[in-house]
Amino acid sequence: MRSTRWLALLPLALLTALVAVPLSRLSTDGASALSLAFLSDPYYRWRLAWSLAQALATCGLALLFGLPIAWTLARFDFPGRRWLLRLLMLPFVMPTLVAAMGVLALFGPQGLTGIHGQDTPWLLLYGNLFYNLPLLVRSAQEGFARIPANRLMAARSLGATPWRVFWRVELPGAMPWICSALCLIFLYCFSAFGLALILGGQRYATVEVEIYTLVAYELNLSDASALALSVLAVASLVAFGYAWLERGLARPMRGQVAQRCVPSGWRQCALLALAVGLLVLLALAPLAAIAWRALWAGPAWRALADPEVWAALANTARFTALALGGACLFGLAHAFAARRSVLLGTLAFLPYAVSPVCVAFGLLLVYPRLSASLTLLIGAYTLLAYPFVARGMSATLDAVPAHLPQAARTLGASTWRVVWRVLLPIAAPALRRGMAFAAATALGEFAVTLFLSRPEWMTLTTLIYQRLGRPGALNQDSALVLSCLLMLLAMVAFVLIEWQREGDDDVAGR
Amino acid sequence: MLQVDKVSKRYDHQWLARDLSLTVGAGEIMALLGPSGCGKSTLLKLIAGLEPVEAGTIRFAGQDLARVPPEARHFALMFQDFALFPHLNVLDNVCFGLVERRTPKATARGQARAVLATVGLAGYDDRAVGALSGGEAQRVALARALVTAPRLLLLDEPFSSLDAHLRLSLQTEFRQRIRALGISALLVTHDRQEAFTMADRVALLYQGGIQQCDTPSALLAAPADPWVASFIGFDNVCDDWALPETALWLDAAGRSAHIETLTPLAEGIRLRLSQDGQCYTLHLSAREAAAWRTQLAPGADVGLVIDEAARIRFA
Repeated sequence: MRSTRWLALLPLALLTALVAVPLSRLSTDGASALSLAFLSDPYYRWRLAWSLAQALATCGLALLFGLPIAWTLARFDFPGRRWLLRLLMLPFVMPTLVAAMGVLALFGPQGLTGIHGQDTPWLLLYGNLFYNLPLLVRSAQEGFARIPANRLMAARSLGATPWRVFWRVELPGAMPWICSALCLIFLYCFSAFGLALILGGQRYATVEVEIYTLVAYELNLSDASALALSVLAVASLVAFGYAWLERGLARPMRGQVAQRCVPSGWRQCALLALAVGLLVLLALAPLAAIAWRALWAGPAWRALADPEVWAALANTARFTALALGGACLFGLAHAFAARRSVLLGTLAFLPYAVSPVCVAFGLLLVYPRLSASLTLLIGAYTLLAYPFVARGMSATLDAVPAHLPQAARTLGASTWRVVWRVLLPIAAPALRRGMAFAAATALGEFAVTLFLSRPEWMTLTTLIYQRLGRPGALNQDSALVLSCLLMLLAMVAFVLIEWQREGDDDVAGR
Repeated sequence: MLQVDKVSKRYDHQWLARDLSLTVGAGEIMALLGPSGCGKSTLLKLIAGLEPVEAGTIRFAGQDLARVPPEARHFALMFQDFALFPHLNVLDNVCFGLVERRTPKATARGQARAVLATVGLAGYDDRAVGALSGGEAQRVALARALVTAPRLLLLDEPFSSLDAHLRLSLQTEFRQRIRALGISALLVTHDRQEAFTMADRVALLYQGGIQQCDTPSALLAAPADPWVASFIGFDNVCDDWALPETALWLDAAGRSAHIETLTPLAEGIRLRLSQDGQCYTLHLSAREAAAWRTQLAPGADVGLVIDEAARIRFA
C-alpha cells in the first residue's frame, strides 16, 4: 500500500500550518524572552511547579484508586459489569466545562455536599480524577484481562500466593497499558485549561490558565511565549514516551485469557463493593450532581428561551458539523497514509500532545489577520478532532491481515475497490466511534474558542463560561442548566460510541 | 501456460528467487516444495502480481504480466489462513470476485450457491465466517477461488492449518475437484506428502532456485543431488550417492553390521547401523521388527544386505 502515502500530504499540510508554524514561532519568541529573570520570578516558578505537581499527584491518585478497580473489573464477573465498563466511557466525552460545573455542584459555594472546596487544591484534583481515573481503569483493565490464564496458573503452581501473582505476574504484564495511561493522564492534567480555569481559583490555576490571562488580559506576550515554550517542552517529552509505548501495545498476547469468576467470600465481595463505590463516587457523582441541581433550578430553565442560547446552540451545531467533516477528511487521509508507518502514526498524536491554549496562542501570533476568521477557527477544531478518527482507523487498518486486501486483489478488485469493499467495511465501527469522539471534542471545545472566536460566534461552552462570570444566583443557575444541556448532547455522542460496542466485542471474541 | 523466466527477488539481501524459471502447463497441477522460509509464498505473490519482480519475466498464455495488476490477471490465490472477509457472510465471500467481475447480483448468488454445493457447503450461505471450522473455512476459500473460473489457481500451504486426518481427505478431494475443472494450479508446500499426493509435477525450491522439477515417481527414482534426496525422504544420503529404502534390508546371510542405536517408533523401529565405517538408517515395520526382535539390541551385530544395483549416483 505504498501508493497511499501521498495522502499524508493532506494532514501534513494541516499539521504544518496549524501546529508546526505557530509552535516554531512560539519557540523563537519564547526563547528570546526566556531569561533567568523569568525563571527566578517566584510567581511563575510556583505556576510551573504547581502544574507539574497537580499532574503528578493526579497520576499517583489515579494509580492508587484505579489499580484495585481495574483488577476487580478484570477478574470478577458480576451483574452490571458490562454496563459499568460502558459508563466509564462517559467522562471521556464530557466537555471540561460540564466536569467543572459538576465539581462545583458538589463542592462549590452552594455545593450539594456542603463541603466548601473553593480555593483549595482539592477541587482541581477531584476534577482531574473525574476525567482520568476512568482512563486508567479502562486501560489497566484491558491489560489485566489480556494476561493468559496459563501464565497465572503457572505462577500459582510455582508457589505464588494470589497477592504475589499480582505483584510478580499481573502487574508487570499490564505495565505497558498502565504506563501509557499514566502518560496520557499526565499530558491531560499538565495542559488542563478549562478545569483549572474554573476550579483552580487564584492560587491553584495551571500554566495554561496563566498563559491565557497573560495574553487576553495583560497583553504580556513575551512572558506568555516563554511559559508556552516550557509547557511544550515537558508535554512533547511525555507525548513521545506515550507514542512509543502505544506502539508496543499492538503486540498480541498469545493464549487463552483468564475466565472471570463470580466473587465469593466476604473479602472479594467487599473489594468489589469498594471498587464500584469508588468508581461511582469519582467518575459519576459530578454528572449526577449537575442533573440533580438542574432539576431544581426551576426559573433558570426559562433561560433556554433566550435567543442568545439558541444562537449559541446553532453555532455549536454548525462548528461541530464542519469540524466533523474536516475530521473525517483528514482522519481518513492520515489513517490510510500511515498504514504500518511508525513516523506517520506518531504524528497523529501531535494534536493530543500540544495544548489547545498554546496552539491558539501560536495561531494568533502567526496569523493575526485571521484571528477572527471562521477558517482558522474550524481549522483549529478540525486539528483537535481529527486524531480521534485517524488513530482509531489506523489501529484497525493495521490489524487487518495483509492477506485480506491481497485476496481481494486476486479476486479482481482494484486498489480503490479494495478500500471500498474490504477496508472501509471492516473499519466502519472504528470510523463511527472516531467520529463520535471527534464530535464530542468539537462540542465541548472551549480553549480555542475563547482565543479565536468573535462575540457573535458564542458557543454553548463560551456562553456557560460567560454566565458563570456574571453575578447573581440566576446566572449561576442558568449556567448549570446550560451545562446540563451540554451534558445531554455529549450523552448522544456517548450512546453513538457505546451502542455498537457490543458487536465489536463479539468480533474480538472470535 | 504459466512461464516464469529468470525471475529474481530479494528481501533484506537474501535471495528468495534468483534467476528462477518454472513452467506450469495447461490443466497441470504443479507443486512447489521447499523448506519453511525459503521464499515459496513470495514466489506465489510475484506470480499473483502482489509484489513487484526485480528481474525476469512472468508470462501467461504468451502475455507478459509485468504491467498487469493483480485484479486483471484472473488468477485466484488461496492463502494459508484462507483470508476470508470477516465482515461478509459465507455467500458474500464467495460472491466477492463475481461482483468485482461485474456479474449481476442474482446470477452471482446462483453461481456461488452452486459452487458451495459442490464443495459440500449447501445451506451455509448466511453463516458468519468466524463461526466456521477449519475444514469449512478451507472449502469456502476454495469455492471463492473457483467460482470466478480463474485461469490459474495459486494455493499457499492450503492444508497446513488443518489436522492430519482432515488434511489427507481434503487433499484427495481438492485434487479431484481441480482436475475435474481442468484449471492449472500451482501449490506451495513444505510437506512432501502433500506435494506428492496433489501434484502432477513437483519443483524443489532451495536457496532461491529450482533444484529439480519432475513427476513424483521420477523424483523418487532419480533425485538430482543430495539435498533433493534427503528433502524428499531418503534416509541414506551421502555426497555422491543415495540409497532408496528398498535397497537395503536385514538378512542373516548378509555381511555383518553393528547396531548403533535402536529407536522404537509408532509404526515399527528405526535402526542406525554401521558397516565398513559407513552409517546406515533402516526403518523396520512392526511385523519385521517382531520377526527380528531377538537379535536386535544396541551393540549387537546383524546381517545387512545392500543392493548395489539400486544405489543412485549423483552426476
